[in-house]
Amino acid sequence: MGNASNLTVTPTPKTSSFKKKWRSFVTYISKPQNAILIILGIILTALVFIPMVDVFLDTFKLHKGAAREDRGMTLESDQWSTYSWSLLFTQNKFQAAIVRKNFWVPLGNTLALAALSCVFAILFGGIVAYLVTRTNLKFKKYISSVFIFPYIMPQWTLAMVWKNLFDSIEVTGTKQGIFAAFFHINMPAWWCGGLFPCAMVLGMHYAPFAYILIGGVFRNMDANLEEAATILNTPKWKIFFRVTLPMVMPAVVSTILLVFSSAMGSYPVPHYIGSTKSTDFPVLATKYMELQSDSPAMASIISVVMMVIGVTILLINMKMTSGRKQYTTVTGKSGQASKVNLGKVGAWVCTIILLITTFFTSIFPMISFALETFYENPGDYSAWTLKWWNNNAVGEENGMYGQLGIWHNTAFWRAFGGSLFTATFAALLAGTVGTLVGYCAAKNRKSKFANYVSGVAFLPYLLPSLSVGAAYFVFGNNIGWFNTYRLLILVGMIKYIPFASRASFNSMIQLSGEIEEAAIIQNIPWYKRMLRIIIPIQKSSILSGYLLPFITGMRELTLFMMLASSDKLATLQLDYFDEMGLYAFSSAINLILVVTILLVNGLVNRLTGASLDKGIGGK
Amino acid sequence: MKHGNKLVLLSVVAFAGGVLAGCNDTSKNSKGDGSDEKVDSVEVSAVQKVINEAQEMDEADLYKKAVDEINGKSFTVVANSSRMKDAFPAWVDYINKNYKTKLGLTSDFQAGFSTTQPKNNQIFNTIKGDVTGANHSISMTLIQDGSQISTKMIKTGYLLNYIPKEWKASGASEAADGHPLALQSLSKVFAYNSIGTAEGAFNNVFDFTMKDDGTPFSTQFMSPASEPVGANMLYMLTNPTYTKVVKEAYDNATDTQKKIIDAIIEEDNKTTFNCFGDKPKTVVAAYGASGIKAQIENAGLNADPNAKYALAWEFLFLKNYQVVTDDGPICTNLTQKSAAGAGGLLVYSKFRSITESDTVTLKDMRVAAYDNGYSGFGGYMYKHYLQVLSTSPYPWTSCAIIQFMTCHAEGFKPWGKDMGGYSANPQVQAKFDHSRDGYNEDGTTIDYPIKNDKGYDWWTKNEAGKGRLVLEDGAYCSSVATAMSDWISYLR
Repeated sequence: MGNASNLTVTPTPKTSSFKKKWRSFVTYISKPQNAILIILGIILTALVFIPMVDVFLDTFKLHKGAAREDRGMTLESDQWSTYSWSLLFTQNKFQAAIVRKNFWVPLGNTLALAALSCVFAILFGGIVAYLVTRTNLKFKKYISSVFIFPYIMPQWTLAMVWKNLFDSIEVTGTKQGIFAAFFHINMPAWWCGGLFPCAMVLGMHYAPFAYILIGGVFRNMDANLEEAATILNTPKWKIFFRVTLPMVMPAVVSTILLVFSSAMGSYPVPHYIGSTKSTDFPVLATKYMELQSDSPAMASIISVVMMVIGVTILLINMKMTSGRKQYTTVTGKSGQASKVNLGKVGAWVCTIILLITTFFTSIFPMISFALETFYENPGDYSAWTLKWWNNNAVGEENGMYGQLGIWHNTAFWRAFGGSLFTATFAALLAGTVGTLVGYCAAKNRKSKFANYVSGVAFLPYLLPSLSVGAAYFVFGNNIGWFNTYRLLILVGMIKYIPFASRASFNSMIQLSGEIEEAAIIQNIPWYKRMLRIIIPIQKSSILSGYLLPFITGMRELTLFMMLASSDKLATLQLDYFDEMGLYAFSSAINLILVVTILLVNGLVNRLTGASLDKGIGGK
Repeated sequence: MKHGNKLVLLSVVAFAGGVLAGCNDTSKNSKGDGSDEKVDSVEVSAVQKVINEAQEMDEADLYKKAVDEINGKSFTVVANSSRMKDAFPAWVDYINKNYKTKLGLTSDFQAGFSTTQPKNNQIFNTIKGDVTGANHSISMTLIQDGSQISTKMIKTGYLLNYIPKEWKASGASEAADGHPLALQSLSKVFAYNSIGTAEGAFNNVFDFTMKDDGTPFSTQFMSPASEPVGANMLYMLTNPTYTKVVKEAYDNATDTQKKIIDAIIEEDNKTTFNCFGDKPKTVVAAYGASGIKAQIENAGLNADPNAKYALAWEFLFLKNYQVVTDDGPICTNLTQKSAAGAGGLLVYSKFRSITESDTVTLKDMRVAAYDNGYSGFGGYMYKHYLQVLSTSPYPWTSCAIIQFMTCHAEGFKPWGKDMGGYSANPQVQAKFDHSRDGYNEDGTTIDYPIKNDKGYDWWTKNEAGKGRLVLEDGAYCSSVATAMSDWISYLR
C-alpha cells in the first residue's frame, strides 16, 4: 500500500519530464539557427498560406454585383456557395461550353505554353551556355553579358518588339510592322500571334535561367569522365549524350521547373501577342483578368488551379532533388573542364551566329525602344520629334493625348521612385530573410522542420506570379493594405525569398562547420560571426540573393498589377502606356528601367564582385 | 552569444510584430472574410455630412471651405479618363484668378494633385481597396459603367453622390444625370479609313461585321471584358428601342448579308456560302452555332420580334472583331495610310491627337454615321460620373472640384475642348461647339471631315439619318447582365 501510495502521490516523473523537455527546448532555442528557424517558420507559414487560404475561400463565394454570380442582381452581400466549382463539371451543355472556353481550353493552352517555353529556354540558354563555357568561342565576355538582357527587361517588352517586327494589316489586322512596312513580308498568323510567338518570347526571356544554371554545371564539370570516355575511343556524340548530358540533367530539370511555373503565370505576353485577327490564344492568366469582374470566384478557381500546379512542381522538384545522388560527379571542385575546339572557322561561325542572335534578343530591343521615343506618332517611321522627352506644354495635345514629356512627367518619376523603393525594400527583406533561412536550413540539414521552412520559403517561387498576386489581392483587401507600398514590398519579399534562400543554402553547405566553431570557442557572439566571418566569405552568393530580387522587382508586372494603381510603380506606368498605345512613353520607361538595372548590377559588381552572369562567361 | 540571440530575436519579433500590428491596425475596417461591407459608419456620416452641407452652399462658400482644407496639401483622384489630370490644375488657376482676393489669400493658392487611370476594369478594386483599407488616400473618382457603379459601389456605400447647387439651377436634368451625377456623355463611334474604299462600303452597321459579299470583317474594338461599357452596349442592344434600329439595318443590308444573318438566326446547316475561304461553307461551319433562339428564351426577349436581329449582329460582331488593348492603339492603327479600308469602334475624341506625316493621316478617316444613307446605330454613348469616396480625406475639395467640373466651362474644358464629349450641364455644353473643327484656318474647306462633330442632339436622336447612338441605361444593363454575360462568354 505504502509503495503504491508513494507511486501515485509523487509527481516527480512528470515534473522532471516537463523540465527535461523545457530544458531541451531552451537548449534548442538557445542556438540562433534554431530560434530563427522557428520564428521564420511561423512567419513564412502565415504569409505564404494565409493568402492561399483566402483565395481558396474566395472560390466558394457568390460575389455581390458580379453578373455571372449575383444572378439577377439580388444579393445583399457576398454569399457562400459551391456554385463556381460545380460549373467546372456541369452537365448543362450551354454552361459546359462556357466553362470549356473560360477554363479548360485556357488550361490546355497554358500547359502547352509553359512546356514550349521550357523547350525554347533550354535549347537557347543551354546551347549558349555550352558554347561559352566549353568551347573556344570568341567574345565570350560580351555574349555572356548581353545574353542576360532579356531577363532584365520586363517580359512583355520583347512581345512589343515582336509586334513591331512582324505585325501586318493583312495578317494581324493592326498596323504594319518593320517586316511588312520595309520588306513587304507578311509573316503567317501562327508566327504573329498565339502559342509560338508567346513561347518564343517567354523562352528568350527565361533563357538566362538555363544559361546560368546549365552554364554553372558546364563550367565546374569534372572533365575526367569525358576524358576517360575519349581515351576509350568513344565517339564524340556518344560522349555528349551518355556522359555530358546526364551530368547537366539536374540543371536542365531545375530550369524546366523554374521556367514552367514562371511561364505558366505570365499575363502580359499572351495579352499582347496571344490574339490577332485570326488567332485566339486564351491562357489562364488572361482569363483570370477577364473573369475578375463578372465571375470573380471562377477567377479565384483559376488562381487556385495554378497554385496546385505550382505545388505539384515543387513536389516533382523535391523528388528530382532527392534523386540527384546519382549525379554526385558534379562536385564543383574540379578545375579541369576541357574545352572543345570548334576550329578556327567553326569558332567564328558560332560567334557570328551568336552575335546576330543576341543582337536581336538583347540589343535590337534597346535600339527599337530608343527609336520609338523619337517617332512623331506611335510606330510612324516617317516623322521625328523630341516631344516625347521634353514637351512641357500643360493641357495641350501635341499628339500626345495631353501627356507631358518624360523629363517633365511627374507621374512617371513618382512611379519610378516607387519602383526603386519597392524593389529596394523587397530585396533587403527577401535577401535578409532568405539568407537566414538558407543559413538555418544548412545548419539543420537533417531536421524535417528545417526542410519544411526551406520548402515553404521556396514555394512562392514555383507558384505563378499571377496566383501569388491574386492571393495577395484578396489578402490585401481583407487586411486593408490594397494599393499600398507595404503590400507590394510584402508580396515582393515573399515571392523573391527563394532567390536568397537557395543562394544562401548552397553557399552555406560549402562552409565547413569548423570555421564557425572556432569562433564559438572564442565566445564570439552570433551576429559578429555572421557579419565578420560567414557573410564576408560567402558575400558573392549572398549579395546575389539581394541583387536578383532587386532586378526582378524593378521589372515585375504580373505580380504587382492587381495590387496597386498605375502611379505606384514604373512597370505599371509602362503597361498603362502600352495599353494606351503611347509606345514612345513605354519605350522610354523600358530604357530607363534597363539602364537603372544595369547600373545597379555594375555598381554591385564593381563593389563586391557579385553579378548575374558571374562565374559563367562574364568573369 | 546571448547578445546575438537577443538581437536576432528582437529583430525578427519586431518584424513579425510589425506585420501583425498592421493587421490589427486595419481590422477595424474589415471583417476579414473578403465580403463587401459597409465602411465605418462614423467616417461615412462625416463625409456625407459635408456633402449635405455642400449641396446647400454657394460656390464662394464651398471654395473657401475647400481652399482651407487642401491648401498646401495633395489631392488624389482615381479616374477612367486620363484628362482628369488637367481638371484640378484648372481649378487651382481658377481660384487664383477669381477668388484670391475674395478668399483673402495673401499668396497664390497651391495644392498638389495626383490621378491614376486603372485599366482592365480595376478601378472598382482600387476604390474598394482604398475605402476598406487602413489609410484613405483617394478623395473622389471620375468613373464609368452605370451598372457596376450601382451594384458594386453605391449600394455598398463606397461612393457618395453630390449634386452642386449651381448645377441644379442650370437646367440640367437631375432625373437623367443627377443620380449618380454625370459629368458628361461620351461617344464611341464606328469609324473607318476611307482610302481605297468603294462608295457605300460602310453604309450599314452590319458592314462592321461582314462586307457586302458576306466576307467577315474585323472591326477593331476593346474587349468588353476589359472595358465593361462595351459589354453594356451589347446588353442595351437587346432593348426594343435598339433592336428596331438593327432590324432597319437588316432590311437595308445586301441580299448576301441578309441570307447569312438569316442562317445565323436559324442555325441553318444547309445553305452554303462562298465567302468563307477557298471552299463553300455553311454559316454554322464557319462560325459555329449561334444559340440565338435559346438566348432569346434565356434573356426573356420573346416578346420582341426584332431581338433576333440584334443578337445576330452581336454574334457576327463578337465572332469577327479584332481585340485591341485600348482606343488609343485603335486610332493609331486606323490612321495609318496603309490601313486602307480598316474600321474600328472607338472613343470619338481619340482622333484629336494625331499628327499628320508621310505615313499617318486623319484626312481620310470617316465617321460611318455621317455618310449619307447610313443604316443602323452609329456607335454607343455612355457617361462619366463624378462621385465622392465615402472615406474621402478631403470631402470639401472633392465637392468643390465636382462643382467646378460640372458648372464651369473651364472645369469641363479638358473634355469639352474636343469632339465627342458632351457636358450634362446645358449651360456649360453651350460653350463648346465642334461642328467646324475640321475646317481649315480660313473656314472654307474641310480638311478633316471626322473632326466636324454634329453634336449631342444629332448623335442621340433615334431616327434615320441621325447618329442613333445606343445610350447606356445602368438599370436595364443590370436586368439583362446575367443572361447576356453568359451568352457573350459563350461566343468568345
